[in-house]
Amino acid sequence: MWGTNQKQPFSSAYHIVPINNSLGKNKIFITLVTTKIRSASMDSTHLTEEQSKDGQEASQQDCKLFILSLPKENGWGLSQNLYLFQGFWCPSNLIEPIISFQNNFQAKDNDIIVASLPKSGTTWLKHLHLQLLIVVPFPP
Amino acid sequence: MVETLTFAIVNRRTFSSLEDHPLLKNISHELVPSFEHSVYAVDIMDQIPLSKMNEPRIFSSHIPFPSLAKSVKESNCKIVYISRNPFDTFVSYWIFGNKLRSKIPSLPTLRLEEAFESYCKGISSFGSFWDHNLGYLKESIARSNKVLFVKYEDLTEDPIFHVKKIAKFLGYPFNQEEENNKVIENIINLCGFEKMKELEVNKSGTHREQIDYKFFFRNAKVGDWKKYLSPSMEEKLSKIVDEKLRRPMSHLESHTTKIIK
Repeated sequence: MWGTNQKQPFSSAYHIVPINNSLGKNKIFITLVTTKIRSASMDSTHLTEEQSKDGQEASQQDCKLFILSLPKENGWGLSQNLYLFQGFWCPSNLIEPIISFQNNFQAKDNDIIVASLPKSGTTWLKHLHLQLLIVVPFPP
Repeated sequence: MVETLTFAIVNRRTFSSLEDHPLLKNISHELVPSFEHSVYAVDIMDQIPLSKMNEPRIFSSHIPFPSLAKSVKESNCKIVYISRNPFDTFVSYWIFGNKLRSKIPSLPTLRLEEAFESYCKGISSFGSFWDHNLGYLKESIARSNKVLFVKYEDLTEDPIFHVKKIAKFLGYPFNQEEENNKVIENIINLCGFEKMKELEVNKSGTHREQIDYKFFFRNAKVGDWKKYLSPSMEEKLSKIVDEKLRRPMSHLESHTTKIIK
C-alpha cells in the first residue's frame, strides 16, 4: 500500500475544496492525490510517508489529471466511466473515496468488514428484506 | 442481507428484544456503511462519520483485497467475503445497470451481448470476478482467522449452519442456551433469510442443485441466468470460470489439503 499518515485523525486528514464541474454541481472534491501516485497506480508499494503527505497537499487539478491519465472504458450503469486503477476497473466517482480510505482509515481490532462484488446478493437483498422488516412485525 | 445479519449477530445481547431492534427502524446502510459509498464519499451529504459509529464497527465494501487500507490488512479486524456465482452476478448486474440507465432518457439500454463481452474481459465495477474472488479466497486460506470466504448459495441453502459459522468466526459464538432458545432462528427471521429463500425458489421454479464444495461456481441451476444467457454465452462463461477460477481454486484447495496433512 502507499504510505499512510496514521497519526492524523480522519476529519483533518484532507483538504476539502468545493468546486463546480462536470461531475455535478456543488460536488466536493477531497484532494489527496498527487501526480506521484500515477506511477504507483499499479504497484502501490513505492510511496513513502513523506510522499503521502505531499499527496494530501496536492491540488484538485492533480487529482483530476491523475484519473484522466488512467485507461478508460464505458461503465454499465449511469454516466460514470470505469478507470483502470490499482489493477481493477473502478467507477470514476469512487477513485477518490478509495484513496481517502487507503490514506486515512484506521482499523480497530474489533472491526468487521463485509466484502463482496456488487450484485452478490448483499445489496438488493438488504433493501428488500428491510422492506419486509418494516411491513411484517416480528414475534418476540 | 449479510451486512444486516452480521449486525444482528454481534449486537444480539444489546438488543435482545426484537420489538425495538434498530434494524426495524434504521436503514442498514447507516448501520453498516460502505467505505467507498458512505464513510469516504466525495459528497459530504453521503458521508457517515466514523465518530457516530458504535463498536464493534461493521463496514461493507466492494474494494478488492489488495486495495484495502493497510491498517485493515495489518490489524486483527475480521472480513467476511460473500461470493456469488458469476452467472447470476452478471445477469443481476446487467439488469441493475439498465434500471439505472432507464432513468436518464439520453442513455441507451446496454445490450446483453455488449455487457457480456465486457464482463468476460473483466471490465466491470471493482474488476474481474476471478481476481476479486481469488484475492479474498487466497487470504482466507493464508489467514483463516482473518478472512472468511462464504458462498452466497451455501448461505441461502443452509442458513442456520452458516450463521453459526459466521458468528463463531467473528468471535461471537452462540452458546447452548441461545441455541435452545432459538436465537439463531430469530436472527435468521429478522434478516429475512427464510423469506428470501422462499422467494428465490419461487422465482427460479427449479430445484437447487447441490453445489460440490470442491468445485466452486459449478453451474448450479439457481436463479435467473438461464433465461438470459444463450448456450454459446453459457459455454464461454463456463470456460472462463473453469480457467480463471476453478483451476486456481482447486490448486489452492489441494495446496491447503497438503499443508493440513
